[in-house]
Amino acid sequence: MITLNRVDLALGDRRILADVSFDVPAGETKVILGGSGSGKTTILRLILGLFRPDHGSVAIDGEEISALPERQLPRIRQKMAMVFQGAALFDSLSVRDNVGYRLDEQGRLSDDAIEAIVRQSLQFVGLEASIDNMPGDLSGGMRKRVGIARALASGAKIILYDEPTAGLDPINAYAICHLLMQLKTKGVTQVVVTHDLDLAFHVADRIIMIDEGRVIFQGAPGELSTRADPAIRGFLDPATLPTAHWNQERGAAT
Amino acid sequence: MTTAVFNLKHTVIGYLLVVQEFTLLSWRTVANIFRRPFQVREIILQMDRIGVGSLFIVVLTGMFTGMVLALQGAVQLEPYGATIYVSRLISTSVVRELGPVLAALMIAGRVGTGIASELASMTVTEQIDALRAEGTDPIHNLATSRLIACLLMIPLLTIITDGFAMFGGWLVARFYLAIDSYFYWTWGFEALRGRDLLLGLMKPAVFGFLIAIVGCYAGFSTKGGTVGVGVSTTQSMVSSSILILATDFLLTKLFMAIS
Repeated sequence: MITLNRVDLALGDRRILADVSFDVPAGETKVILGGSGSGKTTILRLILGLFRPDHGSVAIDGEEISALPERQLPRIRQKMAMVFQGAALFDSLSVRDNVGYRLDEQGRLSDDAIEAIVRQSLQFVGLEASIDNMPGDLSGGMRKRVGIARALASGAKIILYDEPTAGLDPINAYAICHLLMQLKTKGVTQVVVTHDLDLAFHVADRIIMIDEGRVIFQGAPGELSTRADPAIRGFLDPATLPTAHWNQERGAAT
Repeated sequence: MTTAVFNLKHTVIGYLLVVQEFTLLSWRTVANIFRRPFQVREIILQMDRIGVGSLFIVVLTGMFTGMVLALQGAVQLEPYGATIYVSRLISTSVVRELGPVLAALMIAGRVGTGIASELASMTVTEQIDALRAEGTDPIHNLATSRLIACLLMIPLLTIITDGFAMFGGWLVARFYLAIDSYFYWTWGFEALRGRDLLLGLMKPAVFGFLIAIVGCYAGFSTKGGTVGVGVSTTQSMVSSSILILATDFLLTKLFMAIS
């Protein structure tokens, strides 16, 4: 269970989040929608304890993490895994070592047991054949799938995704969407930051929409499309935006 | 006037924050030396990169420094008929000052910038955040291993620099100045005192600490994408070089005062 309660955050002079509150019950897939720079990724970083809120609180499984000293945060972070926007694979390690990194660091399992988990995770994302490759040898879509395999191998019950389909072709985006659906059936708690509406409506149990650091919608995916808020309408249907008329005129002229 | 005071205040606060962060990173990196699990594989890898990888440049640095010292020293000593003592000049100046400082500057250029650019690239591609997200401490996994490798390898590289400086000096002394090898080596070693050797080994250890920590600090504090990587790498080279030269003066003065 993840809980954010009245969280405010500013970085330098810029206010990033204002009065953000929501919770993610265990096993739920929550999608955070919003335009670029609206503060979505910052929310994931707050959940991981990479940022601390200026006001308000962040709790993981009922434990308040905002005030914890840095040396206690690794214990909390090991409950979670994150799939970064650029995958953030470790360049100097092979796919095998990337996926098994956390297990190797923990030192609780034998090398054979780690190898089995790594292979199983890579099989789940369809990349077992790439186990000996280096991250530099992989395409963008493959890197993201390795990122998901790394999250899976960690055994974390909470997985955070930052724009998992950004920059991918429709086939790879569908593959990622399919993986998230499969993980949902396994009872993994997922928080997905995206502006990909297809992905959002496919995987979300509940959706949050952020605009300029504020939550402007929380609810089921079906409710979102019925809202008349101009910011929501503009996001769901860009044709309603004032600039759409200009684009139409430009299209007609050419 | 108010704007100037405001800007000055922000600049001073900015510098103080850098000093605070640098001190904190130094403390955490040193404290992690004794924390399990020991990163043995990473330490050996870094020792190979820093030690074996820098061997060629320190050999050349040492040899040419010794050769130039022999030539210049001979010019200065010749009017007094003391050319034969040129090895004393080479050994003392190399072991006390030139060996540690020149080796450190070369290693700062090769290793310090390498550490800074590698960590900076990891920072801008979110790999450092990924390490933290995996529940590990990047300082323990990355900075401490590089510090240990620098502390162990830079004194060794300095000894090699000193040795090749003596060898380069001998080449000039023997084949250009026609000084007998026996006199060259005997007087060269006789000129050295225990405190020279101590200072000559203490300085590289301190310089190794500075090169590692400055490189790590520049890498971890990188901002602004690929441009930031370049800025951090340059910053690491400039800061390390200045700190090495300033610390060399302070250590020499301190040692003179003590002895």
